[in-house]
Amino acid sequence: MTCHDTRESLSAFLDAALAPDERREVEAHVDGCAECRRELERLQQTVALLHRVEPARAPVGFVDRVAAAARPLPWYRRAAAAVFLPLSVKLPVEATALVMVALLAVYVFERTPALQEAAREQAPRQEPGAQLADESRQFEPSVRRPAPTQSAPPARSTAPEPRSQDRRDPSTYRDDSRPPVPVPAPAAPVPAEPPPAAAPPPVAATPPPAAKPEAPSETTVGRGARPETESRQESVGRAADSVRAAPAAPRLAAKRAQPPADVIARVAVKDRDAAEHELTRLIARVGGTATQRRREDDTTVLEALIPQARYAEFSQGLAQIGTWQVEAERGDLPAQVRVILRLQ
Amino acid sequence: MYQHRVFGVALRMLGNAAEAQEAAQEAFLRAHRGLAEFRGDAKLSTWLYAITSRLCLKRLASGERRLVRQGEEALLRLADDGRRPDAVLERSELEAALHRAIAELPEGRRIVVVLRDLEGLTYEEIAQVLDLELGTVRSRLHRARADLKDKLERFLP
Repeated sequence: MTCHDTRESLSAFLDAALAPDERREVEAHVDGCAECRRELERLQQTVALLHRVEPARAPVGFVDRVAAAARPLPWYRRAAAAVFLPLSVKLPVEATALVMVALLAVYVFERTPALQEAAREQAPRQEPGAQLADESRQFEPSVRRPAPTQSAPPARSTAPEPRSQDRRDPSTYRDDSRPPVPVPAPAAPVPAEPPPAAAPPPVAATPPPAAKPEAPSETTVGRGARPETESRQESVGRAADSVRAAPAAPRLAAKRAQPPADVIARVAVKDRDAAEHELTRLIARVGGTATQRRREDDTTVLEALIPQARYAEFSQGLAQIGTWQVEAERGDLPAQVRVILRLQ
Repeated sequence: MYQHRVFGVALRMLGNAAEAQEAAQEAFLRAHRGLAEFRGDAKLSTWLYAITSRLCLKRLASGERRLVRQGEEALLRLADDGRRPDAVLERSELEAALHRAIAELPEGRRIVVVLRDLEGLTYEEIAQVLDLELGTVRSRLHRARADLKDKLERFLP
């Protein structure tokens, strides 16, 4: 082993980090080489000096500062953690979002099907709506005429024009909040329109032809059954059902629609104006409210809500005004009896 | 316990108490955050030495170090030391020379001699801490000691 090789290994020799055979070689060389022996001593003294260096001590409070720094994360790290990090945060947030979307979907579903269903039922229900006009006529056979007559034009002069059209279009009944049932049909609007170009819309035009074939049978039933209360009630019920089903176009309006008439009566009076006046007072006396009034050429239709408790008093009062005849009456009267009177 | 060792390595490597404190604190915070990565087969001290050594070498290499304030170390020690003034002076002269000599070593040699002669790690531990071959550790240590021997000649008997 040369001096150079030996000196390269002296440091490891001091640390006893040499393999046994290498160590023996170094020992042998150092024993015989004064230069390398001195080099080994100097190196040993240098290491001894290094070992005299006192170990450094961390400043007082260092641990506390480190602990304080370790506890709260910087704001940007906390923000990053909130946005990106733990699944325990992300998962509930995503689940909540999913539930909210689901709730929204259900809400929309709750709304939309109602509309869709109403739209679906619109077509079939228009027919009962058309029948309604017919059924309503059976309560007024005296007024009934073979549908389109030329007596219409004079009628139009007294009766407001849109109403006759309304009667024909069941979809507009609810908007007008008028019961469609007992209105006399003095005019068939389709032929009555003065200029043929201004014919009513197709919807309004369809009911009369559809109703015509049924008219005779309905009329006979109506006439024959007039004294029979049950039949009347049934008719009213059917009319009521029809009215409920009728308003297809204003579907949402139908939900808050008024109930159909509970009592339909004809009152024969001498003086319609005077009778109307008395009737208004009578309604007020029994605590009722007049909801509609309509004057036609030979009939005044008056609609009112009468408290059921005072309905008897109302009918007595009515008998004093004129000769009245019930055309239709519901079996079980509600708390607020909806009465339609036709003064003639 | 560990804080003194970590601070000691940082102080010897960076040569400045304030900077050493910063580095030591950062080393502990990194260790705290990366505790999950700590492998049980290594000693905790070895792991901490590895973090600290890497941190210090990175700082030294980055050139972002603050200027070393001269005499700061000696003043710190004088203030802390309760021994007789002449002994303090004598000791501080030697320590200043030692500190300076260590500080003048190339960084690669300096970290090896600090870990071996000041911190007492074995060659194998140093190789593990610095991720070096055993032979590299051995030769670097020898070079470092030989340099120090030359620089500290006047303190040798």
